[in-house]
Amino acid sequence: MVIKTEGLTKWYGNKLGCRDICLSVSEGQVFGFLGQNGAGKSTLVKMLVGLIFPTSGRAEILGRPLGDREVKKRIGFLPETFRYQEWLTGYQLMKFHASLYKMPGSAGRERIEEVLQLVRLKGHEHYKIRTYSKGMQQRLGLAAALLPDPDLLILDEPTSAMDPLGRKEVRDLILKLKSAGKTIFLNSHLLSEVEVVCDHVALIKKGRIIAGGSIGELKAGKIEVEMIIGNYNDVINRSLAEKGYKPWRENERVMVTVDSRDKIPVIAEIVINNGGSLYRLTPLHNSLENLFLELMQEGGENDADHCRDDLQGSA
Amino acid sequence: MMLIIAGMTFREVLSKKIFYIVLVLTAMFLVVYGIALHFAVQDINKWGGVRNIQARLIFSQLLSLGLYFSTFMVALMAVFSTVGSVSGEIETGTIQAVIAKPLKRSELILGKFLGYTVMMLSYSIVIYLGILGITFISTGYEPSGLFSGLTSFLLIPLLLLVVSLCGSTFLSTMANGIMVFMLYIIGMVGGMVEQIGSMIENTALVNIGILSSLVMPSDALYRKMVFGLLTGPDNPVTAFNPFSTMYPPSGIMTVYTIAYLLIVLFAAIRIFNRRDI
Ligand SMILES: Nc1ncnc2c1ncn2[C@@H]1O[C@H](COP(=O)(O)OP(=O)(O)OP(=O)(O)O)[C@@H](O)[C@H]1O
Ligand SMILES: [Mg+2]
Repeated sequence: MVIKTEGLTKWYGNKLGCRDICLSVSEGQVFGFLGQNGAGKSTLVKMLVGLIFPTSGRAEILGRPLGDREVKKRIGFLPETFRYQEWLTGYQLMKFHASLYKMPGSAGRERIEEVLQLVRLKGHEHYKIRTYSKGMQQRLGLAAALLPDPDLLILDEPTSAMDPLGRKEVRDLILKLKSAGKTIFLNSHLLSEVEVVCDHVALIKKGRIIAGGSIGELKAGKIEVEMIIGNYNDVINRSLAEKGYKPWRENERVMVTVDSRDKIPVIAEIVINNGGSLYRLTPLHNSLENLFLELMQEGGENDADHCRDDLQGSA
Repeated sequence: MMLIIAGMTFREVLSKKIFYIVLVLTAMFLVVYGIALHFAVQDINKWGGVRNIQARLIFSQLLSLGLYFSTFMVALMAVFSTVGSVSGEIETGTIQAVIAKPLKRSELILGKFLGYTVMMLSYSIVIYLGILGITFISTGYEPSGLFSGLTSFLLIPLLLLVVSLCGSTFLSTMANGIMVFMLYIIGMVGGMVEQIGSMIENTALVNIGILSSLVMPSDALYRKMVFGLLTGPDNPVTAFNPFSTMYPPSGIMTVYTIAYLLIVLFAAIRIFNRRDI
């Protein structure tokens, strides 16, 4: 396991940061940590990199307890604020960070060139950071995080200041790192992004994890079914509702949501047995976004007081 | 690691315009002091120069005036340059990427301490030698105990720097500035109270003074320095004026200050080790 947390909890005084976070991220995963503003995403990563201390719970990174300095050499971190010493030039900042990672001079210089190229800041590196645009500063932060060629890359909303092209570049970069076997922990509220690059996700709401698993699993969980029915009548509607499928109509289309594939013929049966003419039945793949919104609205009732196996995104 | 942080601290100071403004203003201060001294000397030399007791008294007073304002300047510099050294970085967020690196938090604090110390000591030595040099050149007045005077003088910015660094690990920049400045004033008022107390032989006042010197020994150091410099075998005790002293603090003050300094530095590390960022 690259990251393993057990009941990790942070209280800011009497304000909850996050609570009972149990996660496992294994090697080579791109793990998406999704949640709304204030859900507790940054709180978790700040604990992981040693900026804040957990109120309770335990965590291990790369097999060592939090705060281990040897392990920190193998972690790249992009903070959500991405503010850097702005009186330095981009290149000077890279050198500073290389020295903090204890990278020797020549190897450091080569690597600096490489990462500057990766984030497309080549040509800007000798200007003061003060003169960089927000997006450029975030790119620089990304370069700093990539500097030690880290085994674990922790990114807190890495594209919040970037333009669409920048977002795509970061996405490609993450996929490239993934294929190189690196583990990436990605905080985001941009589902579209997470959906494309991550293989595992956890959803956090009000400080608690409310769902998690591999993207495939999560998408498989619920299926939206679209039907076109002639003679749609009250009986069909009632029967579907009674069985808990909550049908809703859009023009001539009737939509229902089912928990699993097995339920699809059951629905067809209900429609036909009650006199409906079924012209078409299409199972739609639920996009993670719908799932996300649904989960977020459902509320955090499913209590995460202890670790649940299905939250552990084992590879 | 410590040296990397120290170097960065040093570069941060060098990168600021205010640093160069301060240098220019400091040079101006020395020039003004030199000119004032020059004209004073022209008058006083009519009385027979530096061998005349009266003239020596005036020279020593002028020197104490210069030293007083030098101390003040050095103290202000020490406070203002360090007041946001940690809190400012927390407020802007620049510290986040640094803390996530393989470095101990204590190395960060000690590195900053080292950087500021080198900077403040160089600045203070220049001012100290400047004031004494100018005085010697234009008046021929030679103070006694140059070296122990320098020790006391250097301890003042060091002391304030450490207190201010420590404050910035748990207070906001603004709150820290107010706290350190208040402490400095307490030390100053306490010093005056103690002197007046000694003069009128009032133990209560003396005790209040000593107590405030223990809270903030900066003024005690100043008085120790001035007393050492201006009262030697061949220098008369100066008359009472707010800038000089007749009742020097005991030698234990230096030892106390060094212990104070180390304890506050240690406290800064302890506090910072535990705090959330
Ligand atoms: N320093 C702090 N003091 C008090 N409360 C805090 C502090 N930092 C965060 N919180 C609270 O903890 C909760 C989680 O905050 P966190 O920053 O982790 O959210 P987030 O998921 O990263 O949100 P965003 O998407 O806006 O970045 C919030 O309710 C926030 O108000
Ligand atoms: Mg956040």
